[in-house]
Amino acid sequence: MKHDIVIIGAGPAGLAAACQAYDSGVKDIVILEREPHLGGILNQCIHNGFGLKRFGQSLTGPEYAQRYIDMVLERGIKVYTETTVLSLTDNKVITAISPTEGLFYIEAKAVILAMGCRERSRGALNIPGTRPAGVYSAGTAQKYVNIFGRMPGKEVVILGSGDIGLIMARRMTVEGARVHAVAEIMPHSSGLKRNIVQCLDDFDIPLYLNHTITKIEGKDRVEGVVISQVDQNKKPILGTEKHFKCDTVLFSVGLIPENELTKKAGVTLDRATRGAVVDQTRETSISGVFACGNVLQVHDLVDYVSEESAIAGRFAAEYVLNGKRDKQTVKLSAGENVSYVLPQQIDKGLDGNVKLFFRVTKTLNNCTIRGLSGEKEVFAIKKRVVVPGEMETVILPKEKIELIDGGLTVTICD
Amino acid sequence: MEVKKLICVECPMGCNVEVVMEGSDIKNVTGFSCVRGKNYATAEVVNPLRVITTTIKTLDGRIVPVKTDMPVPKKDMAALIEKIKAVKVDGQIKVGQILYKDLCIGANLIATKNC
Ligand code: SF4
Repeated sequence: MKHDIVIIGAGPAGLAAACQAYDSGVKDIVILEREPHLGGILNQCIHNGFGLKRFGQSLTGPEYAQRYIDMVLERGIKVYTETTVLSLTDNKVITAISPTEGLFYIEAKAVILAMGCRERSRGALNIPGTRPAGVYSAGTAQKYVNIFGRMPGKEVVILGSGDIGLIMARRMTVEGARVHAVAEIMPHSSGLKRNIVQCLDDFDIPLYLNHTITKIEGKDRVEGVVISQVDQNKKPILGTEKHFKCDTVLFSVGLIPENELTKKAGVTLDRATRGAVVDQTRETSISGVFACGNVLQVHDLVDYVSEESAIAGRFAAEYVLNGKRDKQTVKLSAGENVSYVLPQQIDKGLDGNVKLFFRVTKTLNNCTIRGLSGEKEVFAIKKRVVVPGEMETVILPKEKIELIDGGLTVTICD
Repeated sequence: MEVKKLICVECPMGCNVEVVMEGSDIKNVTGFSCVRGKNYATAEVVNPLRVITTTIKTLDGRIVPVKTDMPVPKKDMAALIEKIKAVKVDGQIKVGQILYKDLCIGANLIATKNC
């Protein structure tokens, strides 16, 4: 079959991209979704705090998802659920499989990658000890509790202060478990402040910064863990061990964009974001292939996912309607104290402002965010505080973009 | 005089707000960047409120995510969670449907998903 726009993933990114592409004039859109339901991970995020920016009110994950599901259905956009995409080629042919269609191919004029991200697994962390039952990623535990209504355990220790870990600390406490500790190897939390206050402080759950799990005990089932303080090089300090009896360990140690398909298609990836390299339209290195949401960069807020996905949707539609653009791209790069900048390229030929997203590598107070093009300062913005747990943004107006010559480096200094 | 240190959670800025108290009187509030921060800090030291989100089970065993449609007093959270868990629901449930009227201070328990 042939379609104008094919969107891979019906989570918040795919749904928002679909609506905007439709509203930008392309009606022949299909969404392919691996799960039986639309809405992606939002379905298991039953806590509130979603939509403050997008809708001006605090919604739960399922409510936020429902708004976009309704918008997609109102527009009559076709969705194939339980459909797994097996491959994407550089000339935009998609191979997919589903229980109703079997194996099928779609030739697309434009493709939007919206596969989201997955959790970093424990294996990557190399913790000594046995491998008993009772060790889960925070997201898996969330699925058990919120979708299946089953508790993974009663006495819990959490490694990592990512938002899902913090949310699960509260969630399991509400369901009657005891959360003994959250250990974070960094000197700062990687989660939102709101979650530290409302998920840990509200329930007197201690957060141990500069700490990590150094041992998991138990043969068949987790029986306890040892956590230790770490030095500046993240090496455990002998003599600082604390022992906790517990039956469950949750890991919330970060998210990784899910880019296997992207990689195999030959799209250029950014080593820092682990997502595609894109310009401000969210177009990747393959013409007509766009990416948005957590498959591109791991966002803090779904509101930003929707915002970014609308950009991809709009430009995918323009690509279908007007064809390929000639580009005058300049490169963006991360300088001092910045871990990445997105988009990685700006097409100077396009009108309009460009919103830059980036993350910092450490907490800085009273600092200045600078954009440098060679020796020239393109912009300088003062900030009272920047923290690694929260994405920063700067809006680059068209007249500033004109000043960029060759490339732009974003730095942050005291 | 007592100084209470809070982090404003009204937006991702997370301003560090300090409230100077004398007994139960608020003497001064500093550190906020906008009026929402001042209001948050004032409410937080007097009567902190939270929206409760959790799940309940239908009679036939489906899991329904629910929330209070208004923030409720933090100090009553444990008791309210118990009350919510005891709520019995049945049949098709729509997002926004009231499952329990006036749980406390006028807040209703509503479903957050079609189930
Ligand atoms: S005081 Fe205002 S700017 Fe600061 S965190 Fe609160 S709402 Fe945000």
